[in-house]
Amino acid sequence: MAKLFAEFDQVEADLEELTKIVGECLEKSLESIVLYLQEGETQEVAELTDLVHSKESEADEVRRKLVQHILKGSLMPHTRSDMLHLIESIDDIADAAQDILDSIIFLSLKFDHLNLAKLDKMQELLIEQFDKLSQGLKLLFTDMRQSLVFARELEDVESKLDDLEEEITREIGNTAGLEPAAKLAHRDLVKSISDLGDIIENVGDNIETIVSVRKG
Amino acid sequence: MWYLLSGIYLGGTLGANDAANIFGTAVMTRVIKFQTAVLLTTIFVIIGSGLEGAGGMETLGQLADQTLMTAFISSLAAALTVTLMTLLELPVSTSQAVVGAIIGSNLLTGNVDFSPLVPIVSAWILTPIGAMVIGFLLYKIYILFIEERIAGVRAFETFVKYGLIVSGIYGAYSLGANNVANVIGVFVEAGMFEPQLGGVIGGMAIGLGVVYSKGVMHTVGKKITGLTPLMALITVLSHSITLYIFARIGIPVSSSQAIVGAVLGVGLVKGANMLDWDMARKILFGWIGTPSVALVVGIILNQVAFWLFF
Repeated sequence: MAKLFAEFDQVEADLEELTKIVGECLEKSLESIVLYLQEGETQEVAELTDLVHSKESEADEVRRKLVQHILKGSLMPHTRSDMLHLIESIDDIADAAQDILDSIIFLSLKFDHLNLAKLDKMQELLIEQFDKLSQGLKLLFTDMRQSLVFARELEDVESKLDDLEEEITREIGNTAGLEPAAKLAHRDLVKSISDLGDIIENVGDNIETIVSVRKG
Repeated sequence: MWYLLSGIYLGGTLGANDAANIFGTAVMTRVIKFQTAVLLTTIFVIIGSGLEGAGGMETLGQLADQTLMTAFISSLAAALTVTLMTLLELPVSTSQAVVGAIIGSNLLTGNVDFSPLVPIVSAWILTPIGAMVIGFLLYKIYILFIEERIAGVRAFETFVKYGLIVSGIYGAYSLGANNVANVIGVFVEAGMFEPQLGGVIGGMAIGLGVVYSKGVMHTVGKKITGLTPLMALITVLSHSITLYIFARIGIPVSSSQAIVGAVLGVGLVKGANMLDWDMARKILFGWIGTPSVALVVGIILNQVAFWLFF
């Protein structure tokens, strides 16, 4: 039993570390995107982008270590497969956040007609959503019921994000004089940021599956 | 002593086939290694056989008065039936084959008492039904009294892992107590052994077969582990309880049919209709086809023996 507990301790600690790094990656990506939209490609944006890349690599490293640990360990197949799905879905958040940042900066895209106040609100909601996710993940090993409560709250935040996405997209659509291609580029950026909420919610769905399989 | 060879052969086929129902899930989920499963099954089958196997022996003994020769023929007929039907990939139950074989081997001498057939056949029918009810009740009990106490993933994993080991050990004990009569009952009736010593020898024969159960263990284990871990645990435990109840009543029943019933029971709690018609057909065939084939094989072997030795 001691071996099983030690194994869970390790998985729990590594998962917490992965969540922390992915959270930092998400936060810095959003910060960098908002700053880029406000000020363009400044030195600060470049530094933040580098930081995002290094956090994403760090997350990949922890993910690999965790996957290896789980594959070598003696967890039951159901648990192993559930954990692997969970880890991949957490890592997807960092990948997606970095992708959005890279695509707008590498293509030097300009977004002059975005409602930055609403974008700030989206950023806040995403951070709030990720915070709930972190708490849910932390509780998964010790209190599945409470973990499920946090996982289900992710959906509410995601729904608010969808509403904001719709509002911003409609505003872009109604902006006179904006070329259709520019409108589409604006819409794509807003949608990509809003989709981060879906990706975070996917992790919550994984938590729900894990708990459901273990409930009578 | 050579008469006993057919009993050892039968015990081997029983162990090779039925050990999978006990530790198949634990081995497939890597809770324990195959070698550990073999060791635990063998030890507890022998203990169960020795301590509580006598009831089933008495019931089977009532079907016919045995001589060493008819005991040998009955066991051989049952073992050949099990082997033949396994090779033909037909569903087979050792308990049902043994009853058919005993009747077949003694039918022509007019030495068969059909009255014990009523409780025996009733027990066969009640096995999947009983396992279903037990599976249903155990699942309900888990939801009502245990689920609350298992808070996290870690606690759940520990519960299932140790649960599979404990229910596997109990299953091995129950299998020994219930099924050893199939292996050694006719020899005890023929006066070769006292029930307790017969139980231990029969248990050892079953243990011999467990060593060769890896293939079946993977096949059966894979099917059971297709369920959620909790459903798999409750299925194995319900099966073990069912076998034990019928061991106490003193009627050997089919371990595989108990597993099927238990799966249906846990499925009912979830509102899932897990009734597999193919499986239902197999059970029905097990009730009718297996003893019929064994009966015919018993008659043929009896005639061959008469022609050879008398």
